[in-house]
Amino acid sequence: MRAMVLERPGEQLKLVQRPDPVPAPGQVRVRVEACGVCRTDLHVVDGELPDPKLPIIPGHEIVGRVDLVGGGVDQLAVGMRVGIPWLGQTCGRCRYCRAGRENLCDHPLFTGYTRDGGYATHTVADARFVFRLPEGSDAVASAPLLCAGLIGWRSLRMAGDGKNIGLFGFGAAAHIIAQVARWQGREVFAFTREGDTAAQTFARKLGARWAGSSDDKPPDELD
Amino acid sequence: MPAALRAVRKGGRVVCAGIHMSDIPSFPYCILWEEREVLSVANLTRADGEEFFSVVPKAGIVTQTMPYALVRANEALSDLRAGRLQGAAVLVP
Repeated sequence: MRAMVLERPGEQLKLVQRPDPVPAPGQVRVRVEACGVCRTDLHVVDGELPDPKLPIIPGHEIVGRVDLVGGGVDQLAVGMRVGIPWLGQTCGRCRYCRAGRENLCDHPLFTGYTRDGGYATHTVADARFVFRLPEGSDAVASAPLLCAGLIGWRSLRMAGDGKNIGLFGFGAAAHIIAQVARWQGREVFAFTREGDTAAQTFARKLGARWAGSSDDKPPDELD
Repeated sequence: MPAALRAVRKGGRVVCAGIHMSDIPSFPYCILWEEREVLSVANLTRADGEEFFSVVPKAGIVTQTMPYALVRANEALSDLRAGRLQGAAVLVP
């Protein structure tokens, strides 16, 4: 396999050749078709997150096809289109896992941070944390859904059911969640860096009722 | 975050979705008062994923992407850092 590897925070990623990974029991190997580049990857590369696995292959917005299945995996088969997200594994035993809050697990593994990710031709993943994706979906178009979309969705849910939603920073997540919020019948107010008229135009194109700079006062109160 | 609090109505909520943020500057208590809330979001659950991927086709989500060859990962990261992207960079092996 080929991979872009971070050896030490602050350095450039280096292209390396490695033997193809072999899935352990409970894992699948995925031939990567596309991997989104997330702001969290920048935090990993810049050393802003504690205790990464090093060297590490970044990337946690992975779309690909299963090409080898480890022992004991019966829900996935070779050839299936799948997505691999940030949450790579949880312990299943801590108080958070037992309470249905596995996102707060005390002993998690995170794809592209504490286990190798998708800046590569192949990767392995815990089959229990892999999502089935529609066979006909476009890999490149689907990749940002795996984190920008997912974390955006969780954030939108946690924002409650208010009508007026403000999105501060109109990047990958906001451009997806603006569409979800509009579909739900909410009003979107987009805040960008000062003077970023391109992002403001982009936000309006995606249905934002208003777009301006982050210090501007929106025309209506936000919920 | 203070800018968001200033824009939120009484009883409204500010959700911080990043895994890492620069320090939050101090702000007057009055922009939080009247039962405004601030909370962070950490990671995801598998249930979030199942729910979200069922919404994607119904909401008709179209992503805007900028593909880069895998070997250009450093360039994609630089473009993201510099704010040169609209939508999302995606590496293609």
